[in-house]
Amino acid sequence: MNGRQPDEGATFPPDTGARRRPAFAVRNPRVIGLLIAIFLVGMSFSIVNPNFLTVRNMLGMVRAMSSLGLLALGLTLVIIVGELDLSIGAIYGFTAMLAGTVWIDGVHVVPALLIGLGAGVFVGFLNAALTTWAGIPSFIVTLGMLNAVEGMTLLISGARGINPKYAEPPVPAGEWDIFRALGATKLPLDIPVQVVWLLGLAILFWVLLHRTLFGFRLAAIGSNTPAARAARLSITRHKFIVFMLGGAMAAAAGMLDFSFLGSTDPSAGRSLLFPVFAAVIVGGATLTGGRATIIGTIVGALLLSVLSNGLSIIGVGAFAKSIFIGTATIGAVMLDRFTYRKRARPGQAP
Amino acid sequence: MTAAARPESALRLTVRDLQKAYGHTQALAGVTLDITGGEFLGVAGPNGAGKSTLVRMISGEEEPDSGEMVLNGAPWSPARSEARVPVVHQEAMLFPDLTVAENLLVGGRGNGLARRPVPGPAHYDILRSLGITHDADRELGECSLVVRQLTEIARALAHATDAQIFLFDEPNSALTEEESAELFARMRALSDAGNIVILVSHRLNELAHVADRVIVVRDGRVGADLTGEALTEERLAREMVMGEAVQAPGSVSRRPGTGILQDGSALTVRAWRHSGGSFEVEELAVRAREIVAVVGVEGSGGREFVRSLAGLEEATGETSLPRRPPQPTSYLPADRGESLFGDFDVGRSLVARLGRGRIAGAGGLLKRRTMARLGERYMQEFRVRAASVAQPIGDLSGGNQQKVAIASALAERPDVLLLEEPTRGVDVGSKVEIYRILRTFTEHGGSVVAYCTEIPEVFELADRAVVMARGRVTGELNVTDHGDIGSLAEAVAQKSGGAASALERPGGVDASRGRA
Amino acid sequence: MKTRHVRSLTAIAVLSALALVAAACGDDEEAAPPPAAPQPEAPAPPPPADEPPPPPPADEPPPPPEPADEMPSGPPHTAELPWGTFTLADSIADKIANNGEFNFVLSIEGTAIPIFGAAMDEGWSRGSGEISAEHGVDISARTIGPLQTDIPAQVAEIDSLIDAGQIDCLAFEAHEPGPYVDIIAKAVDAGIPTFGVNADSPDSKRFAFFALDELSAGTLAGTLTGEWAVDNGIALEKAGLLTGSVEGPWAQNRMNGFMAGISAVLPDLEFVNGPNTDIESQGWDPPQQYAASEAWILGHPDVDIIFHTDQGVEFVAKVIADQGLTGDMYTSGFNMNPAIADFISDGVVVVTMVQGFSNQAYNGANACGDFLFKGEFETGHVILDPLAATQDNVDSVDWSQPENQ
Repeated sequence: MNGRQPDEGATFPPDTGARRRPAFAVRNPRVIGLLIAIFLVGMSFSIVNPNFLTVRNMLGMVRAMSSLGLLALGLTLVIIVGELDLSIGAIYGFTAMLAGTVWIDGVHVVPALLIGLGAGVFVGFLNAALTTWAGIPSFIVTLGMLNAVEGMTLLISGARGINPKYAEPPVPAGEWDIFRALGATKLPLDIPVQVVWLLGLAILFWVLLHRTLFGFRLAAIGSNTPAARAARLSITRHKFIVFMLGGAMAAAAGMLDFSFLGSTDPSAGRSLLFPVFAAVIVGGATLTGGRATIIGTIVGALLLSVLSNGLSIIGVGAFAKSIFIGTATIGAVMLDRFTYRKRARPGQAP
Repeated sequence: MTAAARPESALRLTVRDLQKAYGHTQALAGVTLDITGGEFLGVAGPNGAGKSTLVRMISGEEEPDSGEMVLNGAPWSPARSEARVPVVHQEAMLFPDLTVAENLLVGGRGNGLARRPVPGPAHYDILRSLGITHDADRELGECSLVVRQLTEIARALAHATDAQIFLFDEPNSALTEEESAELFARMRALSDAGNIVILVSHRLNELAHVADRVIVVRDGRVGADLTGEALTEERLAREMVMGEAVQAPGSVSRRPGTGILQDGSALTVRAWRHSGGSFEVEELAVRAREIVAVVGVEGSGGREFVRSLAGLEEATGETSLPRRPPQPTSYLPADRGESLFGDFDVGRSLVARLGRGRIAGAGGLLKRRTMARLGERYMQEFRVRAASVAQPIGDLSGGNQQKVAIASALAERPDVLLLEEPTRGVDVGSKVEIYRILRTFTEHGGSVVAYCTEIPEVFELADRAVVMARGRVTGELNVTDHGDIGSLAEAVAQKSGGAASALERPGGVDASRGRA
Repeated sequence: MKTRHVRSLTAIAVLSALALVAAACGDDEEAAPPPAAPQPEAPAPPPPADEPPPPPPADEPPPPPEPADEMPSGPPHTAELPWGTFTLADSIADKIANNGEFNFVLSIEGTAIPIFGAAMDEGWSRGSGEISAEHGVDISARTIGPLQTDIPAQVAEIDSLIDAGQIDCLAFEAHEPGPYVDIIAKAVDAGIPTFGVNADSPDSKRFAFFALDELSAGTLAGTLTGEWAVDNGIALEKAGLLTGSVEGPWAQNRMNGFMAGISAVLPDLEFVNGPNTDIESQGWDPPQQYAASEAWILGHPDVDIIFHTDQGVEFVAKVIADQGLTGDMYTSGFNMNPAIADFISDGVVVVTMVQGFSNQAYNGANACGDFLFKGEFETGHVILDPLAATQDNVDSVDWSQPENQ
């Protein structure tokens, strides 16, 4: 860089601020639409059962949403860079099982949890390596990884759930308290600590995606990989980081839920995969990459959680829940088609 | 509408004021054309002039924005018409997992519920006529390029029973002379039978020899319509070239070539060989403040050479370029679909290539105010016409998109800017501005290496032209030695060892190896 | 083309390496909880049941011994079953005569289904081990089945083992009655004694079926819950039902039984939902079960007793405890683990029915041994009573052992 031209040209017009930047609602019609949908759905539920709209239930709902939210945050980065990660649900179950098993075997709880986190990152590393170095589409890589990781979960667990408190011999009480504090603490006002985890990590990811060069480049790479290559952005490195972050988030979600419940099971996380994708897609991400927002993802996760919670209260059944979530996903994307005008992509007339 | 009972004179296709825009790029700006049965029409024109778009309108693959087509006196819309217009494409549009013979069946009439159709004797006859029976039952994906191209042709012929109009979009770009000759004979037979045959080609000598009549499409219009005596290779070359020139007076301030006089070079390569064998360049030294045009047709290795300087093609040899980043170069592909980020607005696009220290501070946090200011500034400096920096990049016209692309590359402050076809598919006004932008860049000490396929662009843009043919540098010339486009075209053609139209054809078979 | 192959190979190599690592790790980890427990020692009381498992009260007297012409010795090799006469395969009879190694195969619905996979494997191995010791024969006991419920895969696996002559006695768990009829007919016609455990295919040609009776187990849970309320002076007014799987016949039977049992004791108790109304399938993913139970409980604060049809009772209890509702809301359910045991001690869970998965498989293995080596057999549904775990008996059993589940 030879500094031929100074950046700060005094001759250029001053910041004209407001005119340039359209209002939040205009930039994020999806988020506004989702908030309206959440409001309407919430209203309907509270008409059917007034106990839906209680502070207790709202707190419980947001807590239950935290693992979905954490997985969705990780997936958002993977999706914006134009890749997919189907293995996150499996990582969620695997890392919890691994950390628990290692802990029961006598390792201190803190390194045990770090091993779990490391395993999540490692699976993400493998996903990235196979996707970038070996050039296999991430759909295939992570689909295979989903099965491989689930198999490992069964292998280390012997297909049985674990509850470290009742292990033989039981884990030390001090370690148990540390473990439970991570996910099961109630903060003042009865706020579950998992909500704080979600909020904190959401802010962190928001900064990462929307306020750092890293996030800016993720959007560029996902938007147009050949152009990113022409611009010499380090595509491979970025993909490694997002897959590893995705694995780390899945591990964190799995272990926090493990901590909250005090037990885990080889089937944990199996039913999470679709809701996580649904949250990200409903939140406005395009599967081809380039477009996604953290706020959209969080609001998308919130809509799914409201649906899930309300339907559980009414007791309409898992099948109906499936139908609702599936419909909401397609509906949100379909709505896009109607509300956004078709935007031209750069390129020339062939 | 059957082939058998068709009186020759009845067939008449009239195209009136056909227009088509892609986004803000006007691909067809009003084409009017009259073709009668039995006519063999050639279509010529520079890249992006609208040839392929015209073909797609007539074949019904796309519908025009406005204008009409009249067939035998009745309004006609090929997209909706029963009568199909078979097209042989430049890039074979075939099914690699089917056999050659099965490919002929696709698109044939049939009932979707019927059992899987089997190629019949008629299909094998067509394959025999093209000399590819031995490959008839191989999967197309395993066959050579030539066989694939011939299959495309065979497929069009297989549907000939109910067709009257045949379109050939550079069908022979991959064929040898003999194969081409045989193909032209088949095409001539079709036109002699009273059909309309339309051939789009870059090879001007072929058009001049094979077609009854040739139209030259320029900037989305019919620029020239040549028949009989007027239809010569030289005339075609002139029509193509002249029409493309940026004739806005005083648009770009020309200045005498400075390159040779400058000391020090911005970029050098020696014994520079492409790993894929596309080129082998003895030496190229790009001097500071110089604009070098690498001139050559598709397949000359020129494009690959420029890409190799950007590190996007593997090559070995001596080079002044560092092995690792940061590189002193910025590179811009020809296709804006590969140079711009479709999800970004204008402001973000302009700064998309910048990194730490420019738009991000410690910890990688974006300096959003700086980004906004830089965006505004580049938009002004490069005269990007957009409502604001917040406008989506896809909404801009092709010319303005290209200005954004060039601006984003120049924002990296490279020593050398590497470009492919810097004004492809760009309107005339933007061309002028783009040339000026590049010129200004060199006046500030930068250098430019551009891969060009069109002589007017070389004339307007470059100080020096490096002519490439078949992977080698076949000559060099000082652009400023030439006062007009015609003389430059002549000189380039000479250097590349062919006739005046050499640029539009992939090198003659024999005479192309001029001086090395 | 070539590069694509190279890439695939790389992928395969990496995945294989991963699998190897996994396998290596797995061996280490598995050392801790041995899936196949050794011979039961004193501390673990034999099959938990209020009464010992019913002694084999052969519904019909043993069949008249056939004149075994070619069979020199051993127990009778035929059996009169409701559908006709079963004749033992010659190859198996040979093994009995020549003291060969026997393959006892248990095919279960899902080997990776946490609640019963390991427990049934344990009971099968334990039973086979005892037979082996008692009769001085070599028995190779295997538990097979798909990872998750997959009827065609389960049937296909049995089929191929029959064809390979690798089954000398078969026990199966049927996810649904119908799809197993043909494969069991094939096994029995091939001369393999076949028994049902846990979940039945009643129309098949199997010998006996060992399991609890879901309806009466549910009724018992309801009766005990009602009696507990009366004994402790707790006024139960509103009840609710939750389940992992609404559509399971077992779940329906348990819910209907519970309603009947508790209503007989507390006729004024009102149910806010029913086995088919306003009830959802929660599935068995623990965090989801917890979240669904939490939402339902918070939405029905006036309910004071919840019956959960399965191990989800753990999460119902956990929600009650977490929400500070202990003493205001109670729950009863099915199945057992140490966490549920603690909730019983804490007074959140009133009663849970321990099915004895291990015991069911154990009985299946014994039935195999009894027929092959003694010629004795039972037919029909042999009801194994579940153990009702309440505050009175919960501390007397080590619930972490698979044989107690």
